[in-house]
Amino acid sequence: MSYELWVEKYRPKKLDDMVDQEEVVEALKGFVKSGSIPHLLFAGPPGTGKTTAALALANEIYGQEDLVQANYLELNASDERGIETIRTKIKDFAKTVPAGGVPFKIIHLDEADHLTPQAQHALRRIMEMYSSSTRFILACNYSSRIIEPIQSRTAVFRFLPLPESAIKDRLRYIAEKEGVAVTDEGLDAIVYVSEGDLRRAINTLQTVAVVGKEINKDLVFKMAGLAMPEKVERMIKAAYEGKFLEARGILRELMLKDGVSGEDLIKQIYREISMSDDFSDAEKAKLISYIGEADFRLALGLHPDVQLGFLLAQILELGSAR
Amino acid sequence: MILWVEKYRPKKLDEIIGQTSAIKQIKDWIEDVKKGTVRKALLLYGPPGTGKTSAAHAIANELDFDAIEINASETSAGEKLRSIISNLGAPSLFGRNRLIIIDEADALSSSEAKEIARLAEKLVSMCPIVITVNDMYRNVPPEIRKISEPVKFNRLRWTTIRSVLASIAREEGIDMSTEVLKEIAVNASGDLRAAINDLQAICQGSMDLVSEIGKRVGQRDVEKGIFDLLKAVLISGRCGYSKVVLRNLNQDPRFVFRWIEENLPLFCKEPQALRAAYDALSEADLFFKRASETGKMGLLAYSIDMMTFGVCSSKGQKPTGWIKFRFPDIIRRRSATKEVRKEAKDIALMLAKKLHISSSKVIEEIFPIIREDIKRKGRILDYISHEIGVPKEKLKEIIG
Repeated sequence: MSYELWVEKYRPKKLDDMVDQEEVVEALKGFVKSGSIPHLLFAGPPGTGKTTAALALANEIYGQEDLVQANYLELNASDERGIETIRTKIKDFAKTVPAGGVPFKIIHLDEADHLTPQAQHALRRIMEMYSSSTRFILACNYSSRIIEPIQSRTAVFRFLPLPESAIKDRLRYIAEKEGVAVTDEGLDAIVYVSEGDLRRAINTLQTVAVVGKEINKDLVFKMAGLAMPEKVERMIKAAYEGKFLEARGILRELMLKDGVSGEDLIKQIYREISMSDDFSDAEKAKLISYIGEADFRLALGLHPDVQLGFLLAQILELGSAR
Repeated sequence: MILWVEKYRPKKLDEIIGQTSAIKQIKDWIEDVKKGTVRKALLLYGPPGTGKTSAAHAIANELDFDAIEINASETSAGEKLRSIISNLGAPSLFGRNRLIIIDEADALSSSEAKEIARLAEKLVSMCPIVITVNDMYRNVPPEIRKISEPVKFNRLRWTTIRSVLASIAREEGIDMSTEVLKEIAVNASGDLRAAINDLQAICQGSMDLVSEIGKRVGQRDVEKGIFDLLKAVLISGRCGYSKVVLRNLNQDPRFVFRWIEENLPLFCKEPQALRAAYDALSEADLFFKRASETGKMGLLAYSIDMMTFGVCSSKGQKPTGWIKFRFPDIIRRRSATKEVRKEAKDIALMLAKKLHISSSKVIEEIFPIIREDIKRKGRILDYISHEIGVPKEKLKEIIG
């Protein structure tokens, strides 16, 4: 078993090595052949190959490692402080001529849908300003969250969710290379917890491989942040039985001490409640709508502990009406 | 136990210190009233603890009128004023004239304020009125301003406060060093009432160590302000007033939000009410986000209203018994781990560059791998440490 991180070690270097996404790969190969690309917009769920495709495209267009180094800039919108720092970085990178006689530089801006519409308009102007020497590859989960003017200036590529079989094949390949034993059920479990996200699947595989000799279902569920179903159950029960402070205490422990993210916690609450026999169908229907609303508010970036506190208060009220 | 603020409250206008021009203006008004000239209501405005309420009562003394006080933050002010008007026809018990004092008028809701202004307009020809407010420009409705003439009360200098404290200490037979008195006076930031309260608290706690006093007095501003707010939101049931308290509090609303969230379930026991109150908190949270997302800070007003007015109006029955306010758990835990979290973010950013993913994905997906590895052979740790040039021990401390 190697010591590197497998996501990086097994990232395909060439377009042809990519898992699935045949249509996208074909089109991108066409660009390589012609030696030029338009601005691109990659849209698709996480872990379906957007970043890999951008890197592979740069590798094939520039041909040499040092040219990629010099002419390819990667930025992540969620890690940059606002459009101003993005502008500065792009400006600094784009103002020099492309190194090694290549026709253009490439800027890959990941998670572009994290930018507000105003910031995207600023981005559009930046793109236009440097388009003579630079091509942009924007990546996002939903193209609908990218403003029209950008969509119309880019060639949009949709990355489809990967079929489970493709994910399993890839995991099996990696496990074999690394000499890790894995059961078929173990693979299914990884696919299940990573929800079609190949990157997350590979990271989960490695986490589990660090922990145990054989990768089986139980170990996967234990390691995948689903380690505390009993605690989640206890929290829901406490709220439902009118012990709000106890429920809130468990919530804080889960979030602040065990480090479970709000999103993961919501998913687990959803799972617990859907599978539970303690609630009537009518109660379940109400609860699911509450959970959905909380999930939505988390997606807006609100405070998970507050929103989940509200959810617990709703469970409390439901329990008191019984 | 008598409060020193009451015991030493000035009875005459001349005993009110540090407000020379205000007192002159007031005396002028009194002269006219004595002659029977109808004057507008007096609107005494200025920061807390500068002598407004004392002045109002001193006016009644100097006129030798009965003072009828309406405190906007306590009872239904409009109702009280109406009953006063209906009784005005009847002579006062001892046949004396009356002075109406409307205290803390900026705590009135705008509809109440309108009503009061309407009533006061009728009233002003029959008997003199004195109104006190803190901030004349923010919370005083135009209707009130229209019927009154403003008198400004200034924030007091610390030297002035110290001299008052010194004379109280002398009167009480307490030996206190000028240094300590200075510390209390400076700390009160112009609020004489707060300074006197602090002096009494310190003396009766028989705490004579300067450092202790500093500690105790230093927290006063923040905690007292927040406790007042929590009382207004969670106990009093005066929802409009609670809004005003928060606006005057001069604290980051997000910080105050945590206090309200922490303490709400201690005071609100009915499930339905708690759900409704949490709903309001959740809305406040939403408007915090909207304000920062759009850069429209005006939206914070809705947050402030939801976390005070919204919570207050939905929290149901008043709690019984004495409950101690709790310091927000979240803030305590966060500040304990803040440094570590910042360092973790920095390391995640370094790894993010290497791995072509965002730092939050690193924390979510890569840190668990490293964490498990640290517990075991530590080979991945070696590799990472080498790659990003951060010593292993440091990584262990932060990720492990």
